[in-house]
Amino acid sequence: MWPGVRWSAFAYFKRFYVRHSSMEYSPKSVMMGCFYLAAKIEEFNVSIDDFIRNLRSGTPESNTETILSLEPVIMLKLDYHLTVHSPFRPMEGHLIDMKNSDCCANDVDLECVRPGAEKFYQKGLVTDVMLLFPPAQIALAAVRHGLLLAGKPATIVDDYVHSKLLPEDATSANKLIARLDEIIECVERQGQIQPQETTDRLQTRMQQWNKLQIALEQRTKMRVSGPGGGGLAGDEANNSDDDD
Amino acid sequence: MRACPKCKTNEYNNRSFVLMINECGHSLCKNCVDNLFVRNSGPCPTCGRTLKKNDFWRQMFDDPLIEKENHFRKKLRQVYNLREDDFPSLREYNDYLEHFEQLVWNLANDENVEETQLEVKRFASERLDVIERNRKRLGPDEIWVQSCLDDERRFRERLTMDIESQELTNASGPGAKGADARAIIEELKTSDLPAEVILDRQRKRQIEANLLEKEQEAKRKKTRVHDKKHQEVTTFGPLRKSGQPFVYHPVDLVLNGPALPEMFDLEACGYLRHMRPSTTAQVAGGFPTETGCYRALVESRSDLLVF
Repeated sequence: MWPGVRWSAFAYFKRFYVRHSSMEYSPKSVMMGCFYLAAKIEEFNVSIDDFIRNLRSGTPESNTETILSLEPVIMLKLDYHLTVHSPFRPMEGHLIDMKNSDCCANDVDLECVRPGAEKFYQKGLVTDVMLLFPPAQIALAAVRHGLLLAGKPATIVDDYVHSKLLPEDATSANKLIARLDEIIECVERQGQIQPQETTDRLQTRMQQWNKLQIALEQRTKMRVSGPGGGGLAGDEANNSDDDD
Repeated sequence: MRACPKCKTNEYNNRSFVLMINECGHSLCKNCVDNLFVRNSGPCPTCGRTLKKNDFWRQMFDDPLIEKENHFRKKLRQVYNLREDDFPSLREYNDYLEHFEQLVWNLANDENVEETQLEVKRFASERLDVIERNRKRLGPDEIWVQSCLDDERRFRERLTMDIESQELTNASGPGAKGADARAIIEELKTSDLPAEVILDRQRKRQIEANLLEKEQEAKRKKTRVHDKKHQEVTTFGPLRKSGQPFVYHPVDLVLNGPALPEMFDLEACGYLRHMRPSTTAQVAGGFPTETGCYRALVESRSDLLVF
């Protein structure tokens, strides 16, 4: 699966949950749907059967049904803005430009940034950078980070920025470099995968809430269809007070 | 509306079968009405109430109760024609409307009839001035309808005026003949040319003018016929204001970043050295190496300076 597909899927996922709470739609189903949709949009051809064969949980039929029913819903909540600009092509552009402008000494091979940049993107997937910063800037930050990880001085990037934007605009160049630092800091801060216990705790809480919600719905249904019905079956707080 | 209760004819027996109904709610066919009320006043055959022949109206609804209610509603509306702005508050207007409904119900269902009629009389005498004023005023629906009709009338007038003014300008052509006659006389007096030449010239001019007018008439007739034929056809072509030629403005690419080199410049600047060259198949398809390079550069520079 291409990195572009993964980036798009995460972008859809994050944008979807900007609109709705995670209690309204199960995140696991939405994630499956987002991945399937991203594969379609980025023209990474995978049929629905191949897709669900790689899924570990749930029966194939239920998975198929969930994914295919969620697809139009996801598209609707994204306002049908399905093109996601990922930072991979801008990074290629930056590398080409940097190589062309001879900003680095002859012994520094810019290809060494790629593994570092990949790690940066991996961390960046779980953060908010794709919602906050334009992809060109994320790509430049990835290049910088890659240089650092490869042990090369990061001033290469600074010099490149200044030579590209000077003699006109030194202030914008400085702003851009400050922005790159900001992005790297954001990724570092938010990019850690949560430890297993936190996720387990969150999961059990969610399950409790789901059970409670189902129980409340059943009770309100009984009340309405039971003794002649009374009022709207929407105020759960009221009902819970009355019941015990 | 099945059958007349008196003579038992129905729609299938008698082709000109018209059911009439009166205030008491009992229907009769027109023939029976004519026969029974030959003296313009008599008892209703079903309930015995005294009725007048002129009070019968043609029955519209099957249910006599509906007919009765409709009738009373119309009658009372002539008296109870107050509107929302006659009342100080919405609550009072609604109370008035509810009271009106009560009166109609009473009359239609034969309950407290005398009381209701007394009350109606009393209301009529008390609020006579307001009722009279409202009778003359037009309701909001009627005002709107009136304005639509006025618009239509004005539009049609304007059209006819245009046509008339056009015909006037054509008519003024021959009207200028008088001035021309004077000019001819002047010319005859002052010029050296023989009289026949001048008159010939004038006649030639006249004939040409007539021909021109005939051509214009024919053209106008043709366009009118053409319009009539094509009135029902609508055009789905672009409706553009005539006279303004379309000027193409190329789309502006807002880069928000450092400037880009032109596509043809890329090789000269040396960018293509760092790109994998495209295969012959790709070049044949219209995608030379520059395309990929340019695309990467555009994406790397767009929005780079957005803070």
